[in-house]
Amino acid sequence: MTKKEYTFDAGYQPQVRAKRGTPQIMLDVIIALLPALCVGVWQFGFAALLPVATSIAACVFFEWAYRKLLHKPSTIGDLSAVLTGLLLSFTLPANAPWWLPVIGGFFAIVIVKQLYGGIGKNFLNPALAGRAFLFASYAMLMTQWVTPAGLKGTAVDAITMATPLSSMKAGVALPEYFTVANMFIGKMPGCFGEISACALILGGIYLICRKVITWHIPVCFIGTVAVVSLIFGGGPEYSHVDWMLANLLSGGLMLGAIFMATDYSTSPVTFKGRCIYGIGCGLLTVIIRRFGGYPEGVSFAILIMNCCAWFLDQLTKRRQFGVSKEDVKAMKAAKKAAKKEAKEAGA
Amino acid sequence: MADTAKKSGGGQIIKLALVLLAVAAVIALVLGVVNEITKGPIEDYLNNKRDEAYAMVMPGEGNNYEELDAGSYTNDASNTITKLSKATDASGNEIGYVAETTFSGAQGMITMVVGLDNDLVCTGIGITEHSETSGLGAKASDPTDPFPQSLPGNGDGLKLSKDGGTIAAISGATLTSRAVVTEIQTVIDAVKSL
Amino acid sequence: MNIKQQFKEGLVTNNPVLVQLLGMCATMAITTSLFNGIGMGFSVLIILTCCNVVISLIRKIIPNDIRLAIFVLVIAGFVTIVDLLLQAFIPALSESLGVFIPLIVVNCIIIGRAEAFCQKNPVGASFFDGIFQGLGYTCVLICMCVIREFLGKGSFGSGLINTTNGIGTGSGVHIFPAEYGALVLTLPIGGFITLGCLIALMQYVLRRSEEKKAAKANEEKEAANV
Repeated sequence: MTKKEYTFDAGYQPQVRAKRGTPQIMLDVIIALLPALCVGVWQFGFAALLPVATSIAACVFFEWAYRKLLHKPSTIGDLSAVLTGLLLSFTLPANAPWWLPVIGGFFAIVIVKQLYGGIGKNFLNPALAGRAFLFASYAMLMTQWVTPAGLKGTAVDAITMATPLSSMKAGVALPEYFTVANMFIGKMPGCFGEISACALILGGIYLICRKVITWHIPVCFIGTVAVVSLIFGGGPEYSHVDWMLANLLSGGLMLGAIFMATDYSTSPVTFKGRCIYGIGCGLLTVIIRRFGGYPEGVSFAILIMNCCAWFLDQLTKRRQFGVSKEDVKAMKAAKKAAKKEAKEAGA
Repeated sequence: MADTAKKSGGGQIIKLALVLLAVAAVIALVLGVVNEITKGPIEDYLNNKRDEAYAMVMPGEGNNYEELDAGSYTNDASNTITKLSKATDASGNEIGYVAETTFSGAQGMITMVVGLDNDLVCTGIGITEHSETSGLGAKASDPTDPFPQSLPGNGDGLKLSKDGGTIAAISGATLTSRAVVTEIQTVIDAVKSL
Repeated sequence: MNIKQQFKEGLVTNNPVLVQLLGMCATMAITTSLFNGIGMGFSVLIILTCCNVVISLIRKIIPNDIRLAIFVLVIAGFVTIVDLLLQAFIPALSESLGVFIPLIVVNCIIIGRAEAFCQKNPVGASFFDGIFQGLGYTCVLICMCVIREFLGKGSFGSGLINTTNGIGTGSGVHIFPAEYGALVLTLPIGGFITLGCLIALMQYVLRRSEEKKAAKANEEKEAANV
């Protein structure tokens, strides 16, 4: 039998690809996160690796322990828990105490992921849900930003400082040391893994080249934030372009759009669905940043859109395999005709 | 129960009404008795509570409070003042004003008692109800925190240092601090308009 | 129906909150301290028992057409009595529970038991039903309170232990400092999460015990066949 090459528009999982299982995909994502990890260490020092290490260890341990306690096959080999741990630590301030990611990891792995059946069955991104839990619980610890190495001397000589987003929230001009170049490279305060837009974009390009993710969600997400912030601007202290750039480069936008919103089990499967999902995330982010109570809205925007992923899939269901466009049209026309007939008969 | 379906018409409706009336009457009687018993203690408790809150914000013992008519002051556009009273000490001298206020904080409504002396200088505040974030905005209700302690002694025109005034906000809870300070100013404005 | 079975139903197999999923609003809203939980639990227990007895007593004279109106009247009467008594004699509890005491009127546990049980059963059985269902409710509330208070604030028994100024003012025993507690568990969302986890646990336990029972029955059957 000769094999014919078919190209299907196959979406993310649940399709199964040969030779490339969950561990390989997770490993690719972890590799893509390494540049951001390096920038984090460069800016915050090696001490910042402690929460990263405890976060990964805690997530793997809870995943193993839960499956063990309930006599289920172990799933730590698929590296998803390692990735959750890594992502969770990326969303914490660099000086987070070691026990903070342990609590976040417990919530992410046990409550959000395993109670719903484990990998692929959770409806919220575990790392983000863990972050949201910590943010609501330990507001003080989650909003203290270490001054990065790149700004020492130029900025206020303090251990902690305000992020660009807090200046933007307060409606005051951005301090001059937050230049576009500094923010792009990662010389700014923020969560451990979110500061460097360039390292995160590098990782994103790697993921798209490796076909781990498609461009739809990140591009729609970031694009929506760019367009909306460019149009509406941010008050008299900012020109529209400055406001857009500040919105794009500060906070967790890049990390969220490239690595969090594209999580397989919590984002839509169809391409159209992914575009709507990305646009929704972008809109919510801008709205929360501009009008909400918190300076940053990426994590809540993604969590809210996570809940909509299933509906977006229903809404953008593709044609059944083997049914042509004409067939669909004919079916629709037939339905319409039947309705009309019924109406006429009624009249 | 079973025979109600058989009968119909006016007689049936009257029967139902009578049964309902009888049950309601018995319950009303019981409630009346309970209310008689509990009326005294509840009133005592409410008075005590008010006195405690007022004592927190107005120095001196044996003060009397005379409630002012809500129409007698203006400048309270958003209606945050629920009660404004004139305070006199035990010997009858006017010593200032006490206002009970309810206004919106960072998370929800805050209920606060504010005391002013005759020169419209704040003598103290007491937050009796709030739903601010614990560890941040909730510090405003802790009498030992520097923020509530820094408020007495401030008069007309008080502002947070962030807004060009002299009062340091609670770190990480600017919204709550601003709401409290603004409300004190509202009370001062209301008393000014008397 | 015997008392033993009613006891088991009220506390475990037909628990009002964890199995029947009734009265969840108050359960999530007030379970932030042990004081609240015990206060609310016993308020509901007393109201439920009184209502059960009264409704069961008059069940033969209530016309079927207006039975719901009469149930609500009786329930509202008892709730108001308890509300007034609490305001007068345990004001700290009344303040802490706030609107949730008057809201017991529309708590579905009470009207649910009246409709499902008392209007068909004699006074004695209804009395025990009220006690056991109320105890089941109280147990769940206390569980939720202990979990949320401990994980959220690191304390145990606040309101009841270490009282300074009468009942309801205690600071409780601090097991670890409050700043390490997961504050979110004391917020309403923590109520949802805790209750969800408790329901999941209950379903797991019930299913396990049923499976065991079925396995045992199968074994016996097979043994008999052999």
